[in-house]
Amino acid sequence: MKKALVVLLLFLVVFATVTTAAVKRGGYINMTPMKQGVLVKNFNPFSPNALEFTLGAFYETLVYYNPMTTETMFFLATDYEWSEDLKELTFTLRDGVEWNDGTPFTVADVLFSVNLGKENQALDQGVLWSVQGLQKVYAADYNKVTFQFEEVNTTVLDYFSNVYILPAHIWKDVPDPLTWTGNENPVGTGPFLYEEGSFTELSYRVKRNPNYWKLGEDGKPLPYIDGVQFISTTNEQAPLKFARGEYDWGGYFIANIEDTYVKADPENHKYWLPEGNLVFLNLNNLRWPFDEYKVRLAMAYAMDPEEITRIMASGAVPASISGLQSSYLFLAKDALDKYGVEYDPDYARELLEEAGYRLNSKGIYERDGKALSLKLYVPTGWTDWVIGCQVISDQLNEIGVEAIVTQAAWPTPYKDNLFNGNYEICLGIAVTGTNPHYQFVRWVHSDNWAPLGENAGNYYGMRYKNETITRALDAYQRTADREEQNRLMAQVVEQFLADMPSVPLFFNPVWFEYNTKTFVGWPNADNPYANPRPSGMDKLPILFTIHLK
Amino acid sequence: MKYLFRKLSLLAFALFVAVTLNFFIPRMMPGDPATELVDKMQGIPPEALESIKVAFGLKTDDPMIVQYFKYLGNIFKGDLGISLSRFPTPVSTVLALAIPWTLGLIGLSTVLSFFIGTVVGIAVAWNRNKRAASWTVGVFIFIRSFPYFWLGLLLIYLLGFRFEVFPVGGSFSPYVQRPSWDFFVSVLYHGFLPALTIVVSSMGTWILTMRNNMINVLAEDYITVALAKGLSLKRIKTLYAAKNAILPSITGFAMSLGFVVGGGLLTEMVFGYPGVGLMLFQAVQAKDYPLMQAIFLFISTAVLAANFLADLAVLVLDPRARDGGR
Repeated sequence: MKKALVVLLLFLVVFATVTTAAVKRGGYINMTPMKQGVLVKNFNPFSPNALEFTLGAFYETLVYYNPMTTETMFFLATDYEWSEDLKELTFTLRDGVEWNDGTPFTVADVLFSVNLGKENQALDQGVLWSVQGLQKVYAADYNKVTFQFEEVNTTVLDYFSNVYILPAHIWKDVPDPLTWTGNENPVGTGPFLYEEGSFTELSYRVKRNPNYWKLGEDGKPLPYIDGVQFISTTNEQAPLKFARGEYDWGGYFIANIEDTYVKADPENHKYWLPEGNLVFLNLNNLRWPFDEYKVRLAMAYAMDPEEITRIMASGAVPASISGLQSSYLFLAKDALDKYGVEYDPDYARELLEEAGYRLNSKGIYERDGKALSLKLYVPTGWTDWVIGCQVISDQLNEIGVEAIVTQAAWPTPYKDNLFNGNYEICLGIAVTGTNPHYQFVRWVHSDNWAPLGENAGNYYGMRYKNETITRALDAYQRTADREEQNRLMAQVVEQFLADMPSVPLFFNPVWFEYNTKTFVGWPNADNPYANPRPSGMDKLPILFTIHLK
Repeated sequence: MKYLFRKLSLLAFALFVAVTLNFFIPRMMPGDPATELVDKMQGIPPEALESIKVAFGLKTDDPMIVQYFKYLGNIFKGDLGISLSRFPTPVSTVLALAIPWTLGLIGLSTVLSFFIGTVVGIAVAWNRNKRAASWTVGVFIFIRSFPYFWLGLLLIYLLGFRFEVFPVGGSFSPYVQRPSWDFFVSVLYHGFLPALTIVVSSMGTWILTMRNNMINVLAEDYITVALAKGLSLKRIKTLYAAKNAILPSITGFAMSLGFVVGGGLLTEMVFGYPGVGLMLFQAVQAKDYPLMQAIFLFISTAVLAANFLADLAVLVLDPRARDGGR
C-alpha cells in the first residue's frame, strides 16, 4: 500500500514537472501604449516620442542592466571587458545575428550607430559623446568593438542600456535620421516585427520575429507569444477598459485600483507597483533650522511613511530611511543597524529639546524667539503630493513643529526655488535610475552643491555635501569591481544616514496592471524579475517570459 | 459690394490677430516641451534633456520677434512645423488623422441636432397649446442644462459599462479590416453614444430658438390673413411661418458649424474619440506648441469663415441687409 502511494506520488511529481516544462506558445497580448488617443506611426528610435516598442522590440542594445535582478543581460554583445587602465571598454558581439531583412549584423552597424551621435547631439544615444566623454569608437576585431573614454568612468556601462544598434545599410542613406518619418517597416534585430497594414489611429500590431537569436526553454526562438496588439486609450477611459478586462498589460494610473480593477475579476486582475523615483522631505541643509543635525534627525523620527502613503492612496510605496530601493537594501544593512530610524514622535521631541528648543504658548518649539513654524512647499495641483503634505504636516504637528502646506506652481517657481536653494522644507524628488550610484551621484555628490542663491545645476539635492560621500562616489566610477563598488556604495549610504540630510518618504509607483486570464508569467512582488515599464529594454525580460496559460 | 469689402477686410484683420495671439499665448505657459517630457517619463536620463532640446529645435538663439516672423512666413507657405509630442511627424500629418473623425462625429451630430431640433421646434410652436408640447420643451431645457461630458459619462457607465450594449470608447474596433462594410458598421456602433450625447444635449437650443421665432412669426398679420384666406394649414406652417422664422437659426447654425472643427473637447475626451478636441487637450498637456498653434489656427479660421458665410447667407436671404439697412 505504502509502496503504491510512493509510486503514485513519484508519478505525480514527474507529471507535474513535465506539464510545467512545456510552455504553451501562441496568442496576441492586448496592451495599451503609454501614448494616449490618436497614435502616429513613429518608429524613429531617435524620437523621444517613438512608440514604446520601437526601442527594445525592434532595435536592441549590446547589453542591458536589469535593475530588478541587478544583473547585466547580454543582447547583441556576449561579453564585455575593461582595459587595464579602465579607459577602454570592449564588447564582443554575438555571432550569427541577422537583421530581420536577412542582412548579417556586424561590427560596422555598431560603429555606425554610435558615430551618428558624434557630430549631432540629438543622435547621441546614452549621452556617450556629450556627457560620458567618449573619444573614439573602433573595431578591435571582426567581432569586437572598443569604446575609448577620456577619463576612467566605469558606470558608463549602465548607459549602454540606452544605446540601440541600427542597421547601417538602411540608415546610411537617411539624410537626417532625427526627423526621418519613413521608417515604415523597421529593420531591426529585436524579437518583434511590425505587422504590415495593422496601423490605425488607435491601434497597431507587432508579431514575433520567427528568426530571433534567443531561444526559449523549448529550444525554439523566443518570444512565446505570437505578438502584441496595441489599443490606445485615454486617462478618462482607462479604468473602465481595465475593469472590463480589455487589456493583458497596462501601465496606467488607476485611482482606487482595488475597487475599480481587481474587484471586477479578483482571480485574474492583478497589479504590481514597483518602486520608481524617490520622494523625500527636502530639508535645506544651509538654512536654519535644518543646518543642525539634531533638528533633521527629529524630522526623520517624526515621519511615518506608512501612514502617509496609506492616506495618499496613490499606489506610492513607503521608502526605507536609507532611500534605497528594496533590491539594493542589502547595501544598507550595517548602516541601518547603526543609524536606522523608526517612527517615534516622543524621541523626536526629545531631540528638539536637546537642541535647545522649548515649547512656546502655542505648542510650537521655539529657540531664541524663532519658532519652528515653516512653509512646506508642494507643487500646485499635484493632488497626491498635496494630500501627502497634509499628512506630513499633521505628523510634524505631533512633535511641535508647524508646517504650513503651501502650493507653488511647477516648474516655475517651484523648481527654480529648488535650483537656487530658496526654501526651508519642501517635497523633493530623486531619480532612482538604474542603480544606487545613479541615484546618489545626482542627489548628494558635491558637484550638485552650490551656496544659497546660486544655481545648483539640478533640482534633486538639498544643499548637502560630504567629502566622504563624494570621494566614495568618485572611487566607485574608477573601479570595475562589483564587490568594491558595493563596499563604496555601502559607505555612501552609511554617511548619508549618519548625517540624515533629508528624510526619504516614499517611491512613486511604476504602474503595472496585468491579467492572468489568457497569459501567465508576469513579474510581480513575489517574482520581481523585471521592471514592468513598456519603454526601452525594461520590457524584454517580460516578453521573453509570458506565455499562454 | 461695399458691405462685402468691409466684411472681407474685417476677416483679414481678425485672422491676423488670431495668428499673432496664437504665437504668443502658448509661449507664455510655464515650462517647455522637452522638460515636460523628461519629467514625465522615467527612464530618460536627465542628462539627455539637452539632447532633446536640440532635437526639438528649442535651442535657438533667435530673439522672440525673429521667431515670430519666421512663424508668419511658414504659415504663408502652409508649413505648420513638426509636432513635438509626436516628433518628428509633421503637424499637418498629425492633424489630418484627427480631422475626419471630428468632422464625422461632431459635424454630423451638429447637423442632425439642428434638423431634429428645428423640426421639433416648429411642431411644438404650432401645437403650443397642447400639454405634450410644453412637456417636450421642458424636458429639453432640463437636459440642455447638463454639461455634455456629464451626460456622456452617464451613458458610458450605463450603456457601455453596466449593460455592455455599446463600447465604452474609441471610434472603431481595431480587429476589423478597413476599408470594409464591417469597418463602417463598427464606426457607426462606436459613434452612437458620443453622437447621442451631442444631439440630445444640444437639441434643446435649436428647439427653443425655433419655437420662439415661430411663435413670434405666427402672431404676424400675414399669418392671420393667410388663415382667413383659407390656405391649407400645412402650407401656412411651412412656407409662411417656418421659412421666415428659420433665419436667425441659420445664422446660429453657420456659427456652430465653425466651431465643429474644434471638436467636442470634452465629448472626445470622455469617449476617447480620436478627434481634434482630444488632440488639442493632449497637445496642451505636452506643451506641443506647433500642434496647438495649428489647431487654434484651424479653429479660428473655421469660425471666421463660418461667420463670413453666415453674413453672406443673410445677404442673400434678407433684402434689408443688401441695401445697407435703409
